[in-house]
Amino acid sequence: MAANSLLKQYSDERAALVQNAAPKAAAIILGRRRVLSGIRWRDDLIITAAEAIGGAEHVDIRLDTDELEANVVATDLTTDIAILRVGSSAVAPSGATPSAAAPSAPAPLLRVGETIAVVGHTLRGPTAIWGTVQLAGPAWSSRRGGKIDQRLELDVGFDPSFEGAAVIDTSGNIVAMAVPGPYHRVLGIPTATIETVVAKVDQFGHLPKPYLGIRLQPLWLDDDTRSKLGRKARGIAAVGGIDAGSPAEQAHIELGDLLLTLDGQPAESVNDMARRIASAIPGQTIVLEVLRGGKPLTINVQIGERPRH
Amino acid sequence: MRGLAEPPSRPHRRAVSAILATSDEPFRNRVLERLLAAGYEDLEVAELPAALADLLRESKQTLVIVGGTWPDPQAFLRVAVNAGALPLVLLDASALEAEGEALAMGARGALQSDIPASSLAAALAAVDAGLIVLEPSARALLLSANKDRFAPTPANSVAEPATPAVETPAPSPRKGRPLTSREREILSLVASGTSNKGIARVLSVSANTVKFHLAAVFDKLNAATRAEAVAEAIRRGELSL
Repeated sequence: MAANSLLKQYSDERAALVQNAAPKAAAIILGRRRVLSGIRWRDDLIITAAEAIGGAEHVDIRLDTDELEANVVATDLTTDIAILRVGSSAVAPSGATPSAAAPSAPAPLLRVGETIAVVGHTLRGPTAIWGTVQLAGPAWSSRRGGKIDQRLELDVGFDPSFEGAAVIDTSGNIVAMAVPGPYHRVLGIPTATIETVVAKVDQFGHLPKPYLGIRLQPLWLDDDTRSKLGRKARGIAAVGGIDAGSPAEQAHIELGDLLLTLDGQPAESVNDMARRIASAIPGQTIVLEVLRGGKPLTINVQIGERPRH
Repeated sequence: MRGLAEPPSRPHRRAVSAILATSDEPFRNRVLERLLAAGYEDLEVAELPAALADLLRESKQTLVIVGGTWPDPQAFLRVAVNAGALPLVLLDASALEAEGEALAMGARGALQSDIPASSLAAALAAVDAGLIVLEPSARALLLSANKDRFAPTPANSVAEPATPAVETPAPSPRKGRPLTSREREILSLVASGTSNKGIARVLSVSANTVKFHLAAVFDKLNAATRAEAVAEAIRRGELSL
């Protein structure tokens, strides 16, 4: 076969793309038996999968051949994004100081059928698998209320060591982080979503979790009540508890209030409320319409931050 | 380049109230649940006899709970007895024979593993006070010809658990049970993005204890991940949003 055969060119190009991305791949060492991947986002910031990080506070990481210690700065369970900071940026590996931020311009949306590579890192070095964008849907909301900029499902031969690994396109751009999804799907968390979470952490120093301070109970409406209230959904969320000193208490939400709408949109269920509060930003004011004593009432509440101690 | 940022170490090692030494995970979880319910907050777990030996070297703690299906706990029991600890043996499918053997090896108590939390706490307190704890049904052991098999003990007395084990209902699955206030407190901190160590600091307990509580929370909420646990607790009205 000729040295410059198309197959060889194809293979060389693939290998070159992976090699370029490899310095941005980190191995996250959670224990003797659990190593996952991460993405070097900036000099001292590593992005990885929040679920895998669990409740850890410090992790060892491997970048190139250096073993470093990193602090877990933030975990966002709604988007599965965890942000780690390498111990001290001043002593980051000198030999490998890649240009500022990993991804620069807003990444174009991926198309279904596109070829991608997932570039990870194990204790034995960088790893890569090639695959296809199996589904490229619109923006979606995770079951936990995370706003995710594009629905990406990847057809790749995934194993747990690739959890948190960088997804690159055929131009070599980091376009997403690979994480396991339900039903053995592999999801891509798009770069834009990661940027949003990183920006919040840059702004606050940690990741503030939106908080109202109400506990909700689902109630089921009979058809008469439902039509009287003009509601489509059968369920309605009732306030079953209010935390002392919480934004809800300050806004005089009361026990037994039935939540009709949030910002003008019907509050369908407890899950729906949880999702919508989870995607709010602390400091933001929301408008709740509640039914109290059979009468509708409008309440403005400023979303707070869930207490951390 | 390891160790650029030393993790803040805990100021001092807290005395643990008991060590649970077993490699049997279902047994461990069952007992942990009861220990936590009984207010034993600061627990250590040893999954291997060697780990138990290490713990007993560095800790003044002498209350050790071993158990499972006899003779599995023997190795742990031997380590505990050799270290001069006070071992309480909890046996699955207990037979008087096995209880007798455990006592002969130096156990300070031998009970069925499904005793209620309150009885377990009473038994531990009794062992801690230097008493020997037996099932009511084991009275026969004392009166039988096997009596001479028991190792002599300083206080040759018998404390019975508050509730006879025979009346104990079968252990019920945790699924669907409401969270305890401690579990809710921990889950709320999980929802705020606090690490296990951070939670341990806030509540002044060990990180292990936080993990045990979380295992119980996950079990009750039928959740596999932290996110699932938080979402399910909100859905059940156990956690505020």
